[in-house]
Amino acid sequence: MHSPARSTRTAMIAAALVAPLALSACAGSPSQEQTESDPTAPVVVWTDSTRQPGFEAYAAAHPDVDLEITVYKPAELISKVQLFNASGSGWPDVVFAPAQGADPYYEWAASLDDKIDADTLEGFGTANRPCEFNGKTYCLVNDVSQMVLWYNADLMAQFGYEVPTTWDEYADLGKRVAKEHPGYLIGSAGSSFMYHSFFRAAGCPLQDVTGENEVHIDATDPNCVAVAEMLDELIAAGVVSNLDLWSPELTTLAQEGKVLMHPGASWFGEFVFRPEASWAFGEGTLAAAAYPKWSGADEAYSANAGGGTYIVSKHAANLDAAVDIATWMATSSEYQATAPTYPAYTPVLGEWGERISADPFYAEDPMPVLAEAVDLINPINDYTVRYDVETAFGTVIVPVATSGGSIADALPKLQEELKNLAQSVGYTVVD
Amino acid sequence: MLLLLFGIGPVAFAFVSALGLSDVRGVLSPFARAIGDFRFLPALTNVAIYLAISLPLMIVGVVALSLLVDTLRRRWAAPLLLVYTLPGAITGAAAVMLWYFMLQPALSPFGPALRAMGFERGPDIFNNSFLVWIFALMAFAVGFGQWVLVVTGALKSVSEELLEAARIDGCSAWQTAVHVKLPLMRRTLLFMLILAFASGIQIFVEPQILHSVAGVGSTSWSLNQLGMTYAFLNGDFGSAAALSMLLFAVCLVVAVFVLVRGRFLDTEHEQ
Repeated sequence: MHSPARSTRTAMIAAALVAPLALSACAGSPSQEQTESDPTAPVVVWTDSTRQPGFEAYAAAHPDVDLEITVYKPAELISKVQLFNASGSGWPDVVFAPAQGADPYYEWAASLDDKIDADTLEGFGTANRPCEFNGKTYCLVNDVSQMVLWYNADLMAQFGYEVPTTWDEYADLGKRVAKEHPGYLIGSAGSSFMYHSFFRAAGCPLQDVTGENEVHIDATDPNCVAVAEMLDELIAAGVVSNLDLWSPELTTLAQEGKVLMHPGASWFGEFVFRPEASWAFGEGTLAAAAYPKWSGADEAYSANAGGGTYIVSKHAANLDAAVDIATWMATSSEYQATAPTYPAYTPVLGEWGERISADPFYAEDPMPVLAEAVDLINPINDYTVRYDVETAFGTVIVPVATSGGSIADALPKLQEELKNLAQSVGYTVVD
Repeated sequence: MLLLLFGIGPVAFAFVSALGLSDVRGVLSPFARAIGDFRFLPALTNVAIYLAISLPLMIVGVVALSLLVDTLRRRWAAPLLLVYTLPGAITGAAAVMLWYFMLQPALSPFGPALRAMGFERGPDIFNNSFLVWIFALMAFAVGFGQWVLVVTGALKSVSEELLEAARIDGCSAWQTAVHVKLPLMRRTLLFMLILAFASGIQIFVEPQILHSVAGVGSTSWSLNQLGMTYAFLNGDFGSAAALSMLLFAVCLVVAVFVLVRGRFLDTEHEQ
């Protein structure tokens, strides 16, 4: 006998089996790119909480534009975009996110070259390089995190040391500190940030984009080996710590005044050296010097340790307004002058820097040094790639460094890891 | 209906995605990509070692503590059980953070004890060779309380006459535990084994969070983390689904094996 209950169940199972097929069929249909901009359509904005006041200021200044602001975690952008790409709808219109999200590989970001005037783009100098993919601009950089050599001016004067201008001098000073003032630190290499401050800055080719979906990776390049050997030597001497930059142990050492100098990003001053809960440097002790020059390099290059960007979706219904919002956030002095991080858009720099220049926290005004460093980002690793070199450092190099092993010996393993990673996200690797 | 919507439906969808019918690279290629990825074997090894440590730890620990509780008088047993279940109140992400603070010598209230054992700095504990042990400890701390509660519950149903008979026959407390009580706990333990295996093979939160706070392990330390990487970093939903189907298949096979070999469904009489 065929009971009604049983046939219902059969129908439900059938539905459960068919429904996914129907869903996946929907996902297959390509979505149309928006061609006409609808000026009345609301603009969906995704931002982190730090940039939220900026978007709110735009909304207040432009009552005719309907903004829907959502606070989200920028690191999740790519996963969300992949989901929306699969389902064919749901993309936000303007986001604050890392530059990876703008990669045309994800078929989501709008190309901005014909939407923003050339003068505006020129205002960024080289700072918008992370947003350039295959020669086209897909986002606007909000902030730069160029490197400088931060140092404790009081201690340096007290010990009678000169600030090093090359990495050879830095290493020599390290050896002197080890002998004359053991316990004091001139840097740390126990977290994946060492990729930016040392390897990336030195032009060790780990994300050297050479063409569309083509990248040059060579962790055993002489530039990489030289940096690794320098770090191994200075860690062994005890003057470069192999503690994690964010670890409670290093924080304690810094609070005890043991950090003589530390290469770091432009935001280290405000966010690492200054806060009471962090390294708690006293007023008038911190100063910034130009990044030392790598031997064999033609300039004193540093690296850009990332910074946020504004990306516009090519699916945005109100594309004109979306582009305007992104441009306003990145370039208007109303917002950028109040931003917590170093602006990528040079024309607003004067206004932004006033606060820093007048700040008694710094032993001397760090603005001239910071401004000079912005133009000296090593171009070799400055373009954005889809794999995360920092993560690879965390997996391969950091455990070796923190356990007292040789970083130089771990480079071949890093090469293998990066090559695999790059290939897994669609790159052809040239080594 | 809920099972259909949130259980069977997604599994069916994952199965269809994993087959790669709409995959440009060919049918069944998601499975090949999932297994062929350079991160697959390391993740598989990590999870296998973790299971090899955490499952025996769980079973031996729960059996020993249950027998202990069962021999105590009710007055002591009840508060003890309550204490056991307390760590289980903090689960998931919060438990990982708690353990991080407990094991980080510079922050832990047990800092002096940790240093006495030779763990001077965070990396001495949070390094790749200890990870499986840390995760096994976390899983045990979170899970053992509720299982001791369940197993002692099962032991309470052992009739007084049976224990009396065992005593008259000259069984020591140890012999009673091994020959009388242990067989009676068997079903509960098998059930626990199936659930602990299923949750263990899917370990995700612990390595994911510990990687971001202590910089140890990686974002593809476990198989489930790898699945997330496939889907949301590589945008390859097919191989993520294939990996999930493999985990599902392994859990299913293990569960059936344990049920059949453990004669879980046999009646009392057949035993």
